[in-house]
Amino acid sequence: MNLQILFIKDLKEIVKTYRIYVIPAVFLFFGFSSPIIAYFLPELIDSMAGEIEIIMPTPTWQEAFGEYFSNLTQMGLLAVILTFMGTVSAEKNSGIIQMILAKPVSRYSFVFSKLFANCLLLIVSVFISYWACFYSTIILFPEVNLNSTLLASVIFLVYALFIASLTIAASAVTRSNILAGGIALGGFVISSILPVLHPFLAEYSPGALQQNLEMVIAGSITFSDLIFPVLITLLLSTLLVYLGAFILNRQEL
Amino acid sequence: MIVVKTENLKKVYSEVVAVNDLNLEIKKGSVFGLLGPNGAGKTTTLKMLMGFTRPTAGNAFILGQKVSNNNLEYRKKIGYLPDVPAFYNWMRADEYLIFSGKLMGIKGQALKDKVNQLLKISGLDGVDTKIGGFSRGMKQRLGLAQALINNPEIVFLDEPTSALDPIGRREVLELIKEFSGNATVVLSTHILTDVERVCDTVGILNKGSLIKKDTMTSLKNEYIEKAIMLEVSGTEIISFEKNLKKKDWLEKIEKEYSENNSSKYKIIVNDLEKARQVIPGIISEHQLKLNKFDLIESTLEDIFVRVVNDQ
Repeated sequence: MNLQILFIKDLKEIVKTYRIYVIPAVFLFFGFSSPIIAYFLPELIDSMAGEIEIIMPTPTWQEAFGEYFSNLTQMGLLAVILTFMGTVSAEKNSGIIQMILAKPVSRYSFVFSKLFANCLLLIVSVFISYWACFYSTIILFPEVNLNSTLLASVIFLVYALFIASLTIAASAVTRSNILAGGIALGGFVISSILPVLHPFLAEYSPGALQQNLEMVIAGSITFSDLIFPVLITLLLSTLLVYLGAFILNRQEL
Repeated sequence: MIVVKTENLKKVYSEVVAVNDLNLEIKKGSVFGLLGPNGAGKTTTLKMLMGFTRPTAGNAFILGQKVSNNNLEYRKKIGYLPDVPAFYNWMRADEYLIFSGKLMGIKGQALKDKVNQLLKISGLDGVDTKIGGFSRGMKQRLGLAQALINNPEIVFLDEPTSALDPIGRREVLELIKEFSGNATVVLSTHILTDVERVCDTVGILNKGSLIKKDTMTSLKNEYIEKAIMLEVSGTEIISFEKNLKKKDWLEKIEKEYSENNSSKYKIIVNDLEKARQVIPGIISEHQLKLNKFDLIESTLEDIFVRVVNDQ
């Protein structure tokens, strides 16, 4: 089956072009560093304040994970966009796509194999960095809740997959990596703003996932509360990539 | 048996007609040269045949199946080499051929054997460097090899030699000659000598329209210029010219230069044999000295110019 052959090739490409190190390295960095920053932040502020006395509450494991997800939803997802934005457009630009599509390969298989391979990289990166963050937190803090933090990671992963899908879809419809990155970044910003605009969007749009991460960590929101935005986000992600492949299928190469 | 057919195929970009009502039929086993200057519509035609570009009007058929980007069936039986072949630079030649073969549905020992055979034919066996480090000629040979991985019934080659140096060109043309016995070859090019070397049938495209399609032999017979380059010297040059002009086998006489009683002519005739027999006698009759007598053979370039001018 050609989707499987392309998927294996795309996985090899991730390894051979060193992309396998970029996303995990960025995510791991935030995994290890976020609890450390949360732990030492009061001391840091205190030392910078000089003679002014600032009373800071004792840092908690919730703040460590809050810092971690805050970093991932900003810098981490930016790294995802930058790494994935040339996934299809670069191959359109170079002409490799013609070499592949001259063979019995559908344009849908071409796009979806890239989605699956890159999402696999993202899934592995999220869980590696989660364990790094968990490990750092249990060393620095007296307690940590495995269930709520793991659930927050899954919720974040669903949102990250949405951004990855958006980026790959944008890459499929353009010839320019920069334009694909711009579209994905625009989509990322819009999805973050939408929950503020309307209560319905705050509850059901993909942005609801990243907005509620702190509540998930604190245990005040469970998975069943987020089941609809999770399903909607997964559905939207699939539709976006399908739409990207559909447009690519109608484009001239 | 017709393996490639187009019916009123047309492609218009904005207001530019790239291909205009192209009706083409290519027979099985032929080596068809799609000839034309840059911008004639050759690449657009091949892209429409490959399903990469949607025609504005008309249809194309390959092996009896209508061409569309969603029809994957006929692609199992064809090979394609674009004008600038691109590869995954991180792969080696053998890795790329294995990948291409798998996409064509070839597996196991058959794939290994085919890859080894193609690496040998293309002179890339034992090359361990990544494709990113390949020269243009090596990439072109690898491009040809990947187009042949599935023993295709038809191979489409878009300007396969245009960017190569003379050695690279010779190598690629030799490769095309080697496999042309086993497949129909459709080759687009603006290099006339390439067509002369490998093609048996030619279609001449100009400004998007097919202005001539024939076998090389018929084309040469129809358009070949029968001419003699003659240089004589003496005093009776003018009467010699007058005498020549009376001959019924003479079509045209062009004086190339004339100085110090010496003249050079290009004599275009309709009966070369008769002209060869008679001209020495006329020279002798006018007591001229024969300095040069050359038969001129028309090249495909001359034929091409004449076909375009006749249009």
